[in-house]
Amino acid sequence: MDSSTTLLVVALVVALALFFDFTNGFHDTANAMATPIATGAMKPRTAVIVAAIMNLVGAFISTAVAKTISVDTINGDLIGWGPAMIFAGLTGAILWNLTTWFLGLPSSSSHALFGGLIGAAFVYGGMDAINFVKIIEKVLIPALFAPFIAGVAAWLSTSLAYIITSRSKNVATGRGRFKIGQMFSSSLVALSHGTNDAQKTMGVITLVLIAGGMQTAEAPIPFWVILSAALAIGLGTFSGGWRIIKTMGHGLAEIRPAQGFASEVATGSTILASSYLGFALSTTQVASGSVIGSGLGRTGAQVRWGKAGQIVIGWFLTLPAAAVVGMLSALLTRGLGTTGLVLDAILALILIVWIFQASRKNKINHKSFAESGVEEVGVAIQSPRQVRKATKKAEQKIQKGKK
Amino acid sequence: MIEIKWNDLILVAGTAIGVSAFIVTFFAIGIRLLANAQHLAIAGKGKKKKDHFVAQVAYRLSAALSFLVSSSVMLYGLYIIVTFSKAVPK
Repeated sequence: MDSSTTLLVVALVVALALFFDFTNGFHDTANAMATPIATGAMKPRTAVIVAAIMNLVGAFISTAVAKTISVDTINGDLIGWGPAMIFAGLTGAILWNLTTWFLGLPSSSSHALFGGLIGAAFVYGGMDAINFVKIIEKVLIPALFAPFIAGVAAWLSTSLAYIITSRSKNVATGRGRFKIGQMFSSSLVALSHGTNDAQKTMGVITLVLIAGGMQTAEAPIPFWVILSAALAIGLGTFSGGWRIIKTMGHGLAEIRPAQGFASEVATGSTILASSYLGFALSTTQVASGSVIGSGLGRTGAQVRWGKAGQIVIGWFLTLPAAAVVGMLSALLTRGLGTTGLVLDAILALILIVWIFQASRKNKINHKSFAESGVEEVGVAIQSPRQVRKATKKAEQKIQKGKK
Repeated sequence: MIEIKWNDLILVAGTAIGVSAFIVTFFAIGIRLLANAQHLAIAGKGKKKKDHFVAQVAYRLSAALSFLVSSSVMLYGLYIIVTFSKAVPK
């Protein structure tokens, strides 16, 4: 590869890594902001602005961590980290992230990244390139425990909040004040998200720069990498993953301020405790577990187990699905070289545009929340087929009425 | 060979459950005390106005203390985010 081709490849990978960071931002806005929006503690637009600022600040706080990325699920030393392989892996991660966003399913962006890279590594290095033991240790086991731990924490906290503030009938409980607490707790969750997730992109970009011979492994991360990763995750968060916010805030359980506060505190505590003690857990899985736990903690609250089941299936599909896309993408980049990489980029772009176009048919934005409000729970994301079915049913009803 | 750090996992679970219960409990106590103060303010319009005022102040001060305890633990979380993420590479 000559120097101009290397520069083109590196530029493409950097652009794709930043786009992954952007999708990571809007995919994960719900982790911190779904419950304050659902309870009305913050207006939807205000919530995403706060989350975006917190993610931006968080990205700047934790630059030291970005020097290494947690990808020991791949035997990187064995196959080497080529820019084309990373490109293929990122394509897998992005396409899976967008698919789950379209379906309104909160899934782990980290697992999507690992999955994409694992698939690409398989094409470049075969079975030896994948560390299956680490996949079980770092992905599967935490995926089993993360929602459970957060769920128990949120269930206990919600129960305590309701017991402590309970009063005899017709006496005001003052539970609306939990909304004030929610503003702080959700901001803390957004900040911790920024410190964790923006580093992944910084790590990937640094890895590509080193692989492309544009930086030494010992050199500090360039400021433009930190700035661009921080801006990408901040912008992604600001654009708001409204579909996932709707699922997390309204689709899983009926959330009230005390539950929202307990849920966010449980999410924040679990993420911080796991990071501090070196047992990394997925923010998305922790946040989803907390919402379910808070739903169980209030007497009379409903948990929609059907939706919860769909989300869990999404979690377990994330790694293999992103790996398959990464693998297909890597087949192109490996087989056709730079031409394959450009072809790969075009195909990925077409699919991304197609997903965004399809999402416009069933558009969900901040206004959807203003219209629906907290009362209208249970309206989860509908597929185009469900929308057609509902429209047909409504038309039939009108016709019957005319007769 | 799969190595699961069970002790760490139990510690994470214990810490997360304990800390979140602690923060929410103190915040809820604060809310309860504030509600008590409000009920007294509504009820205390008759002869016991002075007694009610003293009780109200006590309730409000205790509520503030509860919120302070709760927010201190949350601020400690912020401190952990800032210091820990700077110090330990993953």
